[in-house]
Amino acid sequence: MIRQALRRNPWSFLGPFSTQLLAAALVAAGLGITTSIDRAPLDAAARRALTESGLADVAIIFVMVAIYLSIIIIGVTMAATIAQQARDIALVRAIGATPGRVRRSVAAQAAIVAVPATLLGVPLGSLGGRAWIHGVVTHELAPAAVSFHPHPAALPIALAVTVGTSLAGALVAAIRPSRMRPAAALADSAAPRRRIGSVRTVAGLILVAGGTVLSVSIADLDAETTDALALFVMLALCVGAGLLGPALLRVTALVGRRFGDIGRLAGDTIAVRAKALSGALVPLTLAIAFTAVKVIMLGTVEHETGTAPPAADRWLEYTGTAVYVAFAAVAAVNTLVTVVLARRRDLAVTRLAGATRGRALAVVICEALLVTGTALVVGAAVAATTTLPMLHTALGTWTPWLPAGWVLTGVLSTAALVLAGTALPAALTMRRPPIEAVHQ
Amino acid sequence: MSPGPAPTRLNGMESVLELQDVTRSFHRGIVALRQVSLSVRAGEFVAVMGATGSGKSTLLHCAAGLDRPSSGSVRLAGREISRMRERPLTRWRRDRVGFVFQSYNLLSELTVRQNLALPGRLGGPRRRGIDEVLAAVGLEGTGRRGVGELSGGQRQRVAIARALVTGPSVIFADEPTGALDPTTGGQILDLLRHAVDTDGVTVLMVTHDPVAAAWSDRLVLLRSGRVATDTATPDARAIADRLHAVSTAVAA
Repeated sequence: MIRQALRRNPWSFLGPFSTQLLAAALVAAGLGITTSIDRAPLDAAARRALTESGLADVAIIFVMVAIYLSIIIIGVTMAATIAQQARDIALVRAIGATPGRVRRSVAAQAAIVAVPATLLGVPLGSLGGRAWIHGVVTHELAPAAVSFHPHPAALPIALAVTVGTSLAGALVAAIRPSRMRPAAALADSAAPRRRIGSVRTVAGLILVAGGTVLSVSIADLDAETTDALALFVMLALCVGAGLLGPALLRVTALVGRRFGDIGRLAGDTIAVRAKALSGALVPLTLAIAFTAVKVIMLGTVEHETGTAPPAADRWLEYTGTAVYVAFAAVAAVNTLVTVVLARRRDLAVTRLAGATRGRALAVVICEALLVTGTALVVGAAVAATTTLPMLHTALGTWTPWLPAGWVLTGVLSTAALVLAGTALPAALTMRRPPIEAVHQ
Repeated sequence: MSPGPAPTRLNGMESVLELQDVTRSFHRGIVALRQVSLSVRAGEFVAVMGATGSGKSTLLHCAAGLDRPSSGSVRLAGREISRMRERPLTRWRRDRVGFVFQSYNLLSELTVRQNLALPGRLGGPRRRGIDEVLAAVGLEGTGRRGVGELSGGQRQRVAIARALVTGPSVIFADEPTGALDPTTGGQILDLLRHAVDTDGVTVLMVTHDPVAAAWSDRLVLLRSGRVATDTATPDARAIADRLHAVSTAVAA
């Protein structure tokens, strides 16, 4: 059964694989940084200064982040992988596999994929750790005597982390599908599309409204309280936006339908797949909002006061953000790839019904741009609501300052990510004649 | 794993499958089965027919424990299964039931032998040898071939072999010939018939093909979720006429 799953749909394991690779790289980098600091030939005073600088803590944060984010994201990506195996799972359930056995098989799949991912991730993490130590030294956060040493046990530790997080994430992801009645997946009709629950929408609206009210009401408090409370504004808005994801995409779909036939087709698809696509929208929005908040805060301080924050602080802030963004990007791209792969048949049917490859691809690209637009608008809104009170209390200004270069980079990289997750796999699957996909 | 006791070959009057007032409704008020009662004796070959949407597949799913009725009871091989917990239900099904579906029957990336070994690996009984059942369906020597290389008819024979390998009391077949040409379909039905006559297996088959149904002993016709007629199987032409009658009665 494990063999069947791995052979039948190897691409569906891309998501867990890249998450595990990233986690292994982070663990290897974090461990390497600690070893490097420990082994640096330093006198007592320099060592005390280095310990107080908190660099070693950064390394530990890398490892912790790798563990908890990879459990969540492996869970999410494995859920998508399992969804593609629905038929096979129904068959083995019918002929005698208990729900527990299905769960164990899914966990084993994730753990098996973790091995090559870790073997690839650990060397990459060593390279990253080396670059990070180099950055620390050039920014004069550490004495030049500190040089990179990989952790001797990086590989076994990283393997233990990735296999452990994979088992945990996959077991949780498999609970629901393993309990499904076999008849539901064996029935020829497509599974009924689940509607967006009204509870979900109402909860989302309450959180967004609450976050906004909090944002307005803290704008006149003192700077420290505002800083502390702004975190809650961001949390409320992010969770709210996540809950509203499918609803937001329905709105986007309405916008898309105004752009000719291609826009109409793209809008229809987004409306139908809103729930699946929101799995990509949410991490994208989080990544955009998170990065934007950091960039706006640092940028506006520099713009208003005329003095840049120390380069070292900035550099530490940005490397931390980059780690979160990398995980979010993996989750988003994987969700998109899964949605496109699940649509292989639909795309083939569209082509059999008379669409050229170019036209079918144009629809997919249009969808990608609509999703990108939604993520950017929502991410920007979250970032603005979070930063405005902080800026007002700290600097007395209401205008966030964001360098044009950052905006352009942000828009382009979001679009590139979304296109990589949609248009690329769509183009690849459409290279084969449509009749093959229909026959699968 | 030990093969466990052989399933009781209930002969004579005792029923191996008994549905009592089974109703199955879905969301939005769709009712697939309404108070269906049906009793199948051991060694019977029953064909279930009806128009599209008459509830044939739902009947099979509920009878086989793949789905649960909204109300009513299902006794399968002497045990009430409609309210069993998922794990014991799975084991009961594994040890006493075989399945043949229209498609998506086999794990496509595995070999014939690996597919046949699957029920055993899942903890099911190994009452018959893999080579023995392969020979019984006329596929000697294909064990090492990938399922992907086989023709549709050969795949369906592998599916029957997989259903037979556990020595089940009942085989449930959902449109087993739906995707096959008449000649190949005939070979598949011959295998099912043979399993009934020589091994004493009970077969419940859903089909919309009168020629396929003519291989059975007993014909149950469904009309909008109810049993319309339940008689000994007549010839194919008479079946087609009856099917036409119940189908048009729905449209009227």
